[in-house]
Amino acid sequence: MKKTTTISLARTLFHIEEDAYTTLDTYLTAIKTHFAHHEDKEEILSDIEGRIAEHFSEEKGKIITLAIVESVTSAMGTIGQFDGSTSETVETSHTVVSKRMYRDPETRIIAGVASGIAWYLGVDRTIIRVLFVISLFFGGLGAVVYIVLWLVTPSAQTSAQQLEMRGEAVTLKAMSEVVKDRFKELDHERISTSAKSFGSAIERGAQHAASAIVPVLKAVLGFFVTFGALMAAATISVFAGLALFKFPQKFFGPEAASLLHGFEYTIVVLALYFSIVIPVIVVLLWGVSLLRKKSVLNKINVLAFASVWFIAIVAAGITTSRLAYKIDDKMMNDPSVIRQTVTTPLESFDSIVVSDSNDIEVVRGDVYSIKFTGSKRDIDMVNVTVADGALTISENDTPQAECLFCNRQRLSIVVTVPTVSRITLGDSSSLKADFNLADLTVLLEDSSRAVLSGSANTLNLTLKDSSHFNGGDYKVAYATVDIEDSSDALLDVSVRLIGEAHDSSSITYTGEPKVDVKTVNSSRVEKETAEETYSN
Amino acid sequence: MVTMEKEKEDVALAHAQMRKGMLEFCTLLIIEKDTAYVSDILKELKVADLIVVEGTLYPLLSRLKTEGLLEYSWQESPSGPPRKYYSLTDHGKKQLAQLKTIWKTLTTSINSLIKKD
Repeated sequence: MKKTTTISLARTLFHIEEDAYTTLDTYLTAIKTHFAHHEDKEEILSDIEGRIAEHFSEEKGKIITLAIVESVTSAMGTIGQFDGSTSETVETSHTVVSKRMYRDPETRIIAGVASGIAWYLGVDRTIIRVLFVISLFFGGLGAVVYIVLWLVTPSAQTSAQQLEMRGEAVTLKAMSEVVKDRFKELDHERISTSAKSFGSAIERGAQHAASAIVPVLKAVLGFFVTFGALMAAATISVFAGLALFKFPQKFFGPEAASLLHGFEYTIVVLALYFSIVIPVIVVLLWGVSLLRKKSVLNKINVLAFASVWFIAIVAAGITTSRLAYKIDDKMMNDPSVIRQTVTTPLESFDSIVVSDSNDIEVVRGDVYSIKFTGSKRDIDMVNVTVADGALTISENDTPQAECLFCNRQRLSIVVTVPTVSRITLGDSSSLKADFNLADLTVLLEDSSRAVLSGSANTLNLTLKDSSHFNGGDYKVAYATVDIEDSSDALLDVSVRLIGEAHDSSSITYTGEPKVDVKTVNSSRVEKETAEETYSN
Repeated sequence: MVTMEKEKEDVALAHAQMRKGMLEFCTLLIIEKDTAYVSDILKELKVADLIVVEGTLYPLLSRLKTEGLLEYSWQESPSGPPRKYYSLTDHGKKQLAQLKTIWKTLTTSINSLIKKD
C-alpha cells in the first residue's frame, strides 16, 4: 500500500505517490534554488514544470510513481548537467546560505509568528511566546505587533523557504528531509484537532473576508475620491472663471483694477488655475481607476500632466509676482488713497449731529469750519450739511469703489466752532472735545462714546444703548444726567447732580455736588474713590 | 599509460564540449526552419544527438530571448495547456546568417585537416 497525493503542475492535476512526490519536490526546489538569481527564473521554472507535466501526461492518467519521476528527472537532467550550456551568470548561485524571516506553519500555535522570530534569532520559541504574552499586559502591544508581523511575514510553505527560515544551506539532502517532515506533519494534522487548525481557520477566514471586503472598500473610496475631486475641480474652475470675467475690484481698488484685465492677468489666472487643478485631476483619475478596477493613469498621461503642471507652476511663480508688484505699486500711489487734508468753511450752526460711525473732534475757534485728514476716497464718503442751525455729519449714500487690501488710515474730522450748545452722536460715532462753554447738551446713542475736557456751567447728558461718556476732565457746576441701557458716565460736578439711571447703568462722579439721582434696575451712582481709577 | 576508462572519459568530455558549442547554433537552425515549441526542438536535438538532458535547453532559450534573437507566441495545443512557439527575430536571422558563414569556413578548414591524414 502506498499513500498518494494530488499535485498541480502547469495547471494539470496528477496523482503522485509519496516517495515520487518527495523526489519531484526536491528536484524542483533544487532547480528553483539554482535559478534563484536568474533574471528569467519564473519563466524558466514554469517552462520546466510544463515540460515535466508533458512527460507525466504521456502516462495517460496513471498514478505517477517514483520510477516515472526518476525517468523524467533524468531526461531533464540535474543542475550539474544543465551547466553544460547555461550562461555564466547562474553558476555562482549554488551555495548561497541566506536566512529570512518566515512564519513557521509547522510549529505554530496561532500563525507561527513567534516560531518564525525564534528561528530567525536562533532562540527557543518558548522564550518568544512568553515575551509575547508578557507584552500583552502593556496595553495589548504584543497583540498589535503580532498582527502586524502576521500580515507582513510570509509563511514558510516550500521546502526551500523552510530551509531559508532555519538558515540552513539549501542542499538536496536537507531539502528531502524537510519534505519528509512535512509529510509526517500532514499526517499528524489529519488526526489531531489541535489549536493549529484554529489559527489556520482564522487565517483562511480573514483571507476570505479580506478578498470580499477589499473590492468594496476600493469602490467606496473610489467613489468618494472621484466625487470630491470633481467638486474641487468644479469649484476651482468657477473661481477661475469669476476671476477672469468678473474681477474682484473691491479687493484692490479702482486704480489697480485696470491691471486686472488683459493678457498678463489672463496668464496669471490660467497659470494659477492649472497649477491647482492638475493635481486635482490626477486625484480624480486615481478615483476613477479605483472605481473601474483598472488604472487609467499610465506613464504617458502622468508625464503629460507633470510637464503641464511644471510649466504652470513656473509661469504662475513668475507672472504672479510681477503682477502683484505692479498692483501694489498702483495701490500705494492711488490718488484716492493718498492722504490729504481738506478744510472747508461752514455757515454758522448751534448744534452738531453725527451719525454713521464717524469720529469727530470739536475744538474752539473763531470761525465755523470742518477739516478732513484722510484719503480722497474716505473724504468723499462723508456727507456734511448745515441746515436749520445744525451741522450734520453722515455717510454719503452714493456707493464708492471699495478697496479691501488698500493701505488706509482712519479718517480724522475736526470741527472748529466759536460756540455750540448741543451735540448728538448716533451709530457708534465718537466725539472728542475740549472747550469752555456756558451750557452744553450731549446726547449719545447706539454705543457712541464721548471724551470731553474743559468746563461748563450746566451739562445736560443723555446716554442710551451702551454709550459711554468720559467727563473726568470736564468741570461742570450743574449736571442733569439721564442714562439707560448699560451706559456709563464719569462726571466732575461741583454743585448739583440730578437725574435718573436705568437698567444696569452707572454714574461715577468726582467733586462734592448735592446728588439727587434715581436709580432703577441695578443701576448705581457712586463717588469715585481714591483707589478706583476710571478707565476708558 | 592511459587506461581505457580514462580514455572514454576524455572523449566524452570533448564530445560534451563540442555539443555545448553547437547547441545554440543548432537550436537557431531548427527554429529557422519553422516556428517550434520546446518538444519539437528537443526531438530534433535528440535525433542529432546534440543534447543529453532536456533541462539544458531552458536557460539557453531564455538567454537567446533576452538577447533578442528569439521571440515566442502562445498557441493552443490539442492536448494540455497552451504552448510557446518560438520563432527568430530579424536580429536572430541576421546573426544566424553570420553563424552559417562561419560554420562553412569552419567545416571547410576542419575537413581539409581531416583529409591530410
